[in-house]
Order: sequence, then structure tokens, then C-alpha cells
Amino acid sequence: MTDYREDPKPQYEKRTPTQIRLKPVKVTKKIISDLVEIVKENKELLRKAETKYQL
Amino acid sequence: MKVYFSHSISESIKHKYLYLDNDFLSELFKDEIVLTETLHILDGSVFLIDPLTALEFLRDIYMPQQYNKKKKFISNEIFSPATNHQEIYKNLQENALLLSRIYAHQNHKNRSGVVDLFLAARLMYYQSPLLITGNKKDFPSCVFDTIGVLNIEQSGDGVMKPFCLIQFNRTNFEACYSALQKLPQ
Repeated sequence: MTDYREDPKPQYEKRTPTQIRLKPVKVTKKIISDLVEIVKENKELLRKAETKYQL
Repeated sequence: MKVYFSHSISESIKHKYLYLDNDFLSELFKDEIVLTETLHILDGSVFLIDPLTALEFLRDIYMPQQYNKKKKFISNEIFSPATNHQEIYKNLQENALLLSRIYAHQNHKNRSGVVDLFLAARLMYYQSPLLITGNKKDFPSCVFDTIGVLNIEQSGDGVMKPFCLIQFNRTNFEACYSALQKLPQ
């Protein structure tokens, strides 16, 4: 919408929502372990912060 | 924490573009068991992160270590960033304004936030992507269909938190849009 004085009209797009057509990324053990590691590290970070706060 | 779901979900999402809302993304970031189970359930779709969802996910974190963890998490190859440039926003803004007027006309009591309106506008803009969100109320049934539900049991209190898979229904939208246009000027 370039001008709010005009009435909006439904906008549709035939292209895909990404720059290029993507194939699904296979959920591999490596991907899972990388993400799990981050989640665990974050949990530990929060736990330490909480302990520090309680002290 | 445990994930409960209907097996038809895995079929519904195969080879589809699937936007992850911030509440869902945050749930994955909270617990490794939920993360692992959910990724296996949703395997086969393209996980998309809207730029505004990424902003919501990363906002308000001042601790550099925690901020870096979150950034590293959504930068994993499994999450793809949705296209982000000015030309798209002009169109999304148009859809968002229209959707907000339709929600109001259809007596949708809840006022959706701007980020959810833009996410809804994206679901409308592209051809049949899906969204997984814990805030179904921000995507009303007059325009969006629920095609599946995934329940995540919360640790501690055992409360079941539902996350809905939703999709834009163009036929319903056109009917609502036509009703809006018929209002006396």
C-alpha cells in the first residue's frame, strides 16, 4: 500500500515465501544434537543466573 | 514435558512451508525433550521464521551470552528466514489492514497485535503455507482453518498447552471481504 488514502485490496503472491524454492531440511541427529546442546547450555545459564540472584 | 499429537499432523505438513510463531519457537527453546519430539513430528516441512517473529524471539534480552544462544538457535540450518524486503511489506500492510477490518466486522472480540496481523497477512499472501501457534485467538476462524493440534504438557503443573496448525481459507476470506464491501458507505 503506497498511499493510505486508497482502499486496501487483497494481495496474493504466486512465488514461494523464501528467496528460492526450498526442500525440507531433513531432521538429522547432528541438527538435533546441535540444537539440544544450545537448549541445555541456555538452561544452565538461566540456572546460574537464578542462583546468583538468590544469593 | 511430553508432546501429544494426532498422527494425521505429520501427513498434513509434508512438503509444506510452515511458519513458526514466537510462542512455539520459545517452547522449543525451553526444553530439549519437547524440541527433539516436536522436530521428529514436524519433519518433512520447511520451517520458516518470519522477520518479525525473529525480532520477537530476540527482543528484550540484554545478557550477551543468552542473546547469542538464542541467535545461534534460530540460525540453525533447519530454520529458513522468510523473504524480507520493502516491496513485500507494502502488500502485507494492505492485507493486514483488510484482515483487521474483517475481524472487527465479523465480531472477533480479540484485537490481534500488529505482529500477528502481519503474520496473518503473510499466510494470506503466499499460497497455502501453514502456521503453528499457541495463540489461535489471534487467527480467527472466519478466515483461518485449524488443521491440527499439538499438545505440550508443561513440566511442574502438568498443564497441557495446545499449539494449533492453521491455514488461510481463501474462500471464507472472499466471503468476508465481499460482506465488508457491501456495507453502506
